[in-house]
Order: sequence, then C-alpha cells, then structure tokens
Amino acid sequence: MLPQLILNSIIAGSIYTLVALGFNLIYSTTKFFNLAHGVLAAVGAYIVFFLAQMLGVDIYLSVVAGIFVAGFIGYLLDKIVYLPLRKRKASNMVLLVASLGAFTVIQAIIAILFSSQFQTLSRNIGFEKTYEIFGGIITQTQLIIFLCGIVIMAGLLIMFKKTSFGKAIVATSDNEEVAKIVGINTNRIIGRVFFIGSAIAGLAGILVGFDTGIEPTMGMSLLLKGVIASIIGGIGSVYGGVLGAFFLGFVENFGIWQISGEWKDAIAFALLIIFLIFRPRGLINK
Amino acid sequence: METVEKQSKTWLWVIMVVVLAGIIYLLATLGGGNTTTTNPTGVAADTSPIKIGASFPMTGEAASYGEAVAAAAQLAVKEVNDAGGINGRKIEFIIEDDTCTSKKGVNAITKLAEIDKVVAMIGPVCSAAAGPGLPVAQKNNLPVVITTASAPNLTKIGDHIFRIYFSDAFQGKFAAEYIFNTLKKTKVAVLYVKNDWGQGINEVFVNRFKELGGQVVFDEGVAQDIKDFRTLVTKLRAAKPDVVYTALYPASGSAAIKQLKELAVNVPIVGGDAFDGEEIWRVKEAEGVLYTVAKTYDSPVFREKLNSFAGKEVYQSFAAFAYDAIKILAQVIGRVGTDHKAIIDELAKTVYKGAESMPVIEFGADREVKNVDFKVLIIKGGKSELYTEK
Repeated sequence: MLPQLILNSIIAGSIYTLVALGFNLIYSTTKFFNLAHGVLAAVGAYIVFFLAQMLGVDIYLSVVAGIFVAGFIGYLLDKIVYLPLRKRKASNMVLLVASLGAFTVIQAIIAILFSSQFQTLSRNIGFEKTYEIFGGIITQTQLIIFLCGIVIMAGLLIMFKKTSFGKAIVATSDNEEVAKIVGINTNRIIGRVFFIGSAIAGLAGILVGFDTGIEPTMGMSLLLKGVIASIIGGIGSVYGGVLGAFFLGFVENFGIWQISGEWKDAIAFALLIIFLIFRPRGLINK
Repeated sequence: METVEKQSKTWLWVIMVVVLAGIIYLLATLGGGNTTTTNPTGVAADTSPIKIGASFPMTGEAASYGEAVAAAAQLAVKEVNDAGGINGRKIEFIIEDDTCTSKKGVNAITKLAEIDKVVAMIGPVCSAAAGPGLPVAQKNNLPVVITTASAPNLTKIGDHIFRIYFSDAFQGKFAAEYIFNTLKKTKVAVLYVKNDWGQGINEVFVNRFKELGGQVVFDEGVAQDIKDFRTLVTKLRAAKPDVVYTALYPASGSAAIKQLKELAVNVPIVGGDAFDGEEIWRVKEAEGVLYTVAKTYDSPVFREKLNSFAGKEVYQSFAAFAYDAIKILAQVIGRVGTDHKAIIDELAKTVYKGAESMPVIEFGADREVKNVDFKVLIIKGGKSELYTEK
C-alpha cells in the first residue's frame, strides 16, 4: 500500500504545485493576495469543456485555447481592475477585496452560462491508460499533471535566471519605484506576469478537470490549497511553492491514512497555522 | 406649549394601548374560536371554518416543488369542502411561503402557529426550512404532518411532528438489507458525506448491516466538496470489501467512483437516491453503478386530476403526499375534533387506506410513515433503468 500512498501524495502535490506556482509568481511581483487566481482555473477548464465537448473542437486545440483564455482574462483583470487601483495607491487590502469580487463575479458568470452541475471532461476519450509503479497505480492524466508541474517549475526558474524579462520581474518585485527609475515599464511587466500566472492556473484547472471533473466552484478549494502550499513553502519563491505543495500533499495523505478522511482539510489548515506561528517565512527563505 | 405637547403625547399612548388591546382581543377570540369546540358531535353545531396551514416554498429555488404540493393540497381541500367539509365545517387553508430557507421557514411556521392559530399544518417541503421551523410548531403544540422534507432527525423534534414522506434513514436500512440479502455480499465498505443526509443514512446502514450479520470493513465520511478520494480508496482497497456503499452527492460521488475504478477496486458500487440524476449518469465510469430510490405510486389518474385542477402541468411524484396529508388530517379532525392533543393521539393510531402516494399510510412509534418500499436502479449508457438481479 505504501507505493500507492506515496503516489497519491505526489499526485496531490503536483496539483497544488500548479496552483501555487502561478499564485506565487503573481504574489512575488505585485505583493498582494490575488484570490481571483482560483477562478481562472475554472475558466480554463470551462473553455475546454465548451470547445471540446459542446462544439466538438479538437481536444489539444481546446486545451491551448483554454490556457490562453485563462491567461488573457487574468491580463484583463490586471488592466481593468488592479491597475487603476494601483495608480490610486490603493492598499493591498483593497486589492485583495477587489480580487475576491472578481472571483465571485467570474464564478457566477460560469455558473449562469454552464449551470452549476458537475461535469466531466474525460468522456468520449475512452478509458484512461494506467501505469503501475512499484505496485502503485497512476493514470496518464495524473502523470501529465506531475510532468507539467516539473516543466513549469523549470521554465520559471530559467525565465528568472536567464531572460531579461525574468530579471525585470525580479527588479519590479524587489522595488517597483527603483525599477521604474532604471527604465523598466513595471505596469507592462506586471500585466505579462498576470498573463503567465493566470495561464498556469488555467492549465491546472484543465488538468484537474480531466482528472476528476469540473464545476464552477472548483476554484476556491484549489486556490486554498495553493495558498497554503505557497505559505508553508515560502511565499514568493518558486522552489518554496513546489516544496510546500509536495509537503502538503504528503502530510495530508499520510494524515488521512492514519486517521480518517474527514480530517483532510483540518490537517491542511492545522499545518498552515503551525507554520504561521512557528515558521512564518516558510520552508525556504527567499 | 410644552404641557400641550405632553398631553397630546399621553393621549397618543392611551389610544395606542386601546387599539393594541382591541387587536389582541380580536385575535384571541377569532383564533381561539376553533379550538374551543372539542366535541364534534356537540349540540350547538359549529359552522366556523377549520384552519389548516401549510409551509411551502412558493418562491425561491424550490418554487416548482411548492407549486406542485400547493395545488395537490388545495385539490384535497376542495374535495373535502365540496363533500360537506369536516362535520359541516369547511377547511380554511392558509399557505405561507417559506422560500425553502431556514429564516423564512421560522417566519412561516411562527405565523401559522401564533397568528393564524391553525389547528394543524402540513409541510415543509425543504429540510432547510423544516429543521429550524418545526421546533416553533412543537413549542406551540401544533400537530404537523411533514410532506416532503426528508432529513432523518425532523420527527425527533417532538411528539407533534409526523411525516408521511420517507426519512432518508429508511434507504440506509433498505440498502443494507438489499446488499446483504439480494446481492449476497457480506463485507461492505462505506463512503459518506459528513452532513445530516449522509450521516443519517450511514448510521442506519451500518447498524442494520451488522445486525444482519455482515461485516463493515471500512466506514469513513468526507467533507462535501472533496474530490480527491485516492488515499481513502487506497485504504478501502486494503480492507478488501466485496461491495462499496456510498451516500455521496453527484459531484463527489462521480469523483469517488472514478477513483475507485482507477485504483482497480472492481466490486459492485451501490449509491443513494442522490444518484438519481443525469449529473452522475453521464459519467462513463458510473456505468453499472446501482442506486436506491423510494417507490411512489405515480398514479396517472391522480396526475391527470391534479393537472386539470391546476390548469397546467404541475404534477411531481411527491405532490400526492401533500394531497394525502390533507385527507388524513381531515379524517382525524372529523373523528376527534380540533384539540391538538387529541389530533396527535389519533394520528398515531390512524390507518389510512386509499391514499394516492402509497397503498396504506400509518405511522410508527417514531411518527415516521411505515411500509416504505424502495426500488433499485442501474446506470446504463448515460441513463438509468430498473435493475433486476439475474
């Protein structure tokens, strides 16, 4: 049973990783809790549902479109909601409340357009391939989730280290005023960061949709786990998000293995509280 | 100036007190009028109407249910009144809108009990309105016949609360017996949602299954929004059950079924009545899953009668319960009069035949309806059909 338990933890950790990576990227640049990040996962998933299932568009094309639309809506949110607020020197609390508003509005629109019923993305593709690893079972989708997590983590690390865009993000996140003085268009950088972060959220939503299913409210639970992973890992850091996500996945799954399943969320939040009290900077010091 | 103002204020108070006293007096005499006549065969024939109340969701998310049960109840009232009423007294039927919410449920039942002073009431349709609302009825000693609300603990609120609809707990008992006796499985694993519904079913199911001599090898509850069942399924698989019983809603139920199949738990899966909907039928892994729902009469004659009475298509299978509830109350009040205590004593003994919802309606010691029967359905090709053991 142990290999299966480890695999389960890795699958959960991979899902949390995808959410935490995008969330952390936006947080490290803008320094506010963008709660609307969660709903963009639902946006991505529903775009795929709409294109592939309702219109019959090719599944790969739909996935690309879903990622792009989620990114684009994140970008629009920045330009329409957050940028005007930032220009008015609104506090991070105001931005957080605004993002909660955006979350609720988008979630409501999805529910109105597609009903609040639970849907699956995997129908019509046939039964999923499963792989056996040391006696544990993992499905193809779950393997893809894990690989996506690793690839995106590596991509972000390379972007930060090697590209001038990545360095501009680091500069903006260190000190926006100084970055402006040295000639970085910080608003444009932040807009792009929103696009990339939201696109990753969209991908997360799509993959979760293929793995379990979609409903308009799927964003909140994903977001909460992603935020917990970010905080216990070390908020604002790429490694931290990933480490936190896998740590959370393992603690949750081994926890409910020992005690019963109803404790799952309690375990996650207890872990968060323990970290906030005893190690608020997280596992990794940024 | 000041004294004049003071005087006029004093007068205003006096007038208000007098008016209030008048209103209270009027209400007391009007409301009490019905409850004074406890002897239906009394010498002085009382022809004042008998008030029966209802708490139904006439607006809000369950408005279509409310429309159906209200029409059915009004049809029953009309039939009783047309046949001469209850010992010569007509029924005055008062519907309050509980909007299927707890707050309005309390308001509706408070109004029926304390202002309208009804003799008895039927409803609510929603457990959400019934849970907080029915204690008000019990406090006022108002006899209630619940028509559609199904949360298991509702009749435990007090000795005035009866129910002719099926408590959710019944299907737990039925499922246990079906799995043990018909499917001949003895080692069951249970997954349920941690709320009134899931816990109610789980408790009854597990007790009954053990009573029958079966073994419950795994039994765990989850929060309602959980979609990741992998570790629970891993645990469940290690317990080696030969059947899985789930009291889950469609969303988490689909996820659980999918992950059971993924992790190669290839034993029969049986679900509750929450699986009776397209939301889960269209999940391809749900193919072959069984679930239980309560049997109702669904009489086409009654359906036709109700729709023509309402002037449009309002029929729902549970509307018949509201119709029967009024008929039973009319019969009981006809026998023992309008005293609350007499009504609940008589309700407890009543055996009502010729009902539209079930063949015979009678209440057990727990004030729940007896003789509830269930049927088993199987999910097949995106639909569901009656399942018969081969």
